[in-house]
Amino acid sequence: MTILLDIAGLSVCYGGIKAVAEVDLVVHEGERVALIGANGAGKSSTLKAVAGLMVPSSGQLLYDGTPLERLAVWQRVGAGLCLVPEGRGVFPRLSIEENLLMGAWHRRRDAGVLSDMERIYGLFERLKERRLQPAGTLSGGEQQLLALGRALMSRPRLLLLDEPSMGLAPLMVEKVFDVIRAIAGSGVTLLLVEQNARLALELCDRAYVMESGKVVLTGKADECLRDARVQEAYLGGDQS
Amino acid sequence: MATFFQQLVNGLTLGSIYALVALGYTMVYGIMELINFAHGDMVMVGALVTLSLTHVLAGLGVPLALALPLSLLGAMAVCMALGWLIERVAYRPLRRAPRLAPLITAIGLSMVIEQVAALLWGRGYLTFSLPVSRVWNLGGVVVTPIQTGVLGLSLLLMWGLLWLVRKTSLGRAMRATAQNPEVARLMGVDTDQVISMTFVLGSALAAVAGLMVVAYYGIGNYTMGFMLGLKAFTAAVLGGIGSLAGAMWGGLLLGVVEALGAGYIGDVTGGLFGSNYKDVFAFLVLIGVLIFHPQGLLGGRAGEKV
Ligand SMILES: Nc1ncnc2c1ncn2[C@@H]1O[C@H](COP(=O)(O)OP(=O)(O)OP(=O)(O)O)[C@@H](O)[C@H]1O
Ligand SMILES: [Mg+2]
Repeated sequence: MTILLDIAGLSVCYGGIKAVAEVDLVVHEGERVALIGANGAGKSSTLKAVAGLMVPSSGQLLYDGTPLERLAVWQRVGAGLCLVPEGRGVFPRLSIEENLLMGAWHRRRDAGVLSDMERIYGLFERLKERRLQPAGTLSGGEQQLLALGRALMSRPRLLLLDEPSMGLAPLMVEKVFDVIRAIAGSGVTLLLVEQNARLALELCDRAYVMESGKVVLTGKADECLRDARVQEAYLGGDQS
Repeated sequence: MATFFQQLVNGLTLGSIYALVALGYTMVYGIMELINFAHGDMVMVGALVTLSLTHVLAGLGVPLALALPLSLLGAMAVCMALGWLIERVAYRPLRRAPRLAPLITAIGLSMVIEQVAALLWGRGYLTFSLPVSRVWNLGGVVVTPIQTGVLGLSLLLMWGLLWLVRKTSLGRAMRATAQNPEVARLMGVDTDQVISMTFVLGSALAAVAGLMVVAYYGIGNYTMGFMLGLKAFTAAVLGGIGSLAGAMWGGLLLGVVEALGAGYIGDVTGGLFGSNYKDVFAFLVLIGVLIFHPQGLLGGRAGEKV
């Protein structure tokens, strides 16, 4: 399997504080990788470095064999790398349709955009009904679905998802994860950050566990699910 | 009653010029929360370039009907280039600096532009007269072709700008950048370029406003951008800074308030204050808005930001 994303010795700092410390992480083409850990472990900071929102203080990021530092944030989508940020980041005063079009910004002159939009409306009936309304009027779950749809509009090769279940009711979480599973099934490579470790581990092939900026455990997702330390810290301890 | 309608016409003409300039303030504010105090001077540059080019072309024997639009295009090109340059050189390096830094830069820039203009055009008043003597008399209300031209062109440009911001992909990127620049970048938008385009668009409108001012008043001077800039800024605040529709309504309203104020102040104060006090009204409006309704008429929730 070819390596799509290769993170080596990545450190990210906020002022003097090191939020990510010498992290090594690899994602193969077609793989689903989970990155789990407690609040403040440095998961979002890792994704932000990959997307270009944070400049690494050290380390090497390779995407499809090329160093990512050569690409500005806005150029990375065109290369197939798309981040759905923590808190979804929909444009509240743009309509749902305009939000979807923003996802296809780098291929806005491409005739395939409209058919992709129809395909996404097919996945999310609710979005189609309300396509001319401001995205800010959607519920949190619907906004998450919109953010996923918008990311799909960019035709990503590697999708980075930062806590897609955050703040959602259980039913909605299920729906969002169904969609993520469908996206992964269509061949998109996934790097999924989640606090809901069980959901993430059940969906993914491999996992990394972060604690205070460091990767403390990595392995097959089902092995992590059975790991005593993971169960203790992230799965409530009692299920085995 | 004739005075009322006459001043209404005068006010709408003037107000539509304020509106064009106010759009430049409000677009830049909407997209990067910066008050570009050098924007008023862009109007002056547009005015003086138009004026000089028209004289040069007329000297070459080009008929006015051709010289005027050509000069305007030239002035627009100069202003757009200058607006682009100012953003690039003066504001972009300060993107992450504290708010006060770009504000002070803007004031400094304004002085630099005025002094360079004084070197190029001198400190005196330059005259500009269009050979239009016809007027229309509508039941005691006098309307000149220049007034109708100013109003018509302003409305056309405002409609065009609204269309651009609401319907085109550049407009969509501008609104996305205004709402969340970080996510806009994640979606592939080169937000620096969008910001450049915003400055360029505002500067083009300022150039047109410059032509309108010299055509309307018949004179131009290197300091003319100062008061005009302040009034347009007032109009933008009145309408709710950041809101496009707000800048338009704010501009028209301010023009009308000022014209009516100037028309009646003599009568109301028994001749104590004359129409030369008209500038006071703009600042009374500004102070009043800031004290009683700082979000402006269409600001805050309801207003459509850039
Ligand atoms: N903008 C910031 N300024 C300063 N410190 C920050 C900033 N963002 C994050 N941090 C710090 O960096 C560390 C890692 O934060 P990060 O957001 O990457 O964690 P996380 O694993 O995503 O946590 P969560 O599960 O809460 O989202 C934390 O200690 C956090 O306080
Ligand atoms: Mg996080």
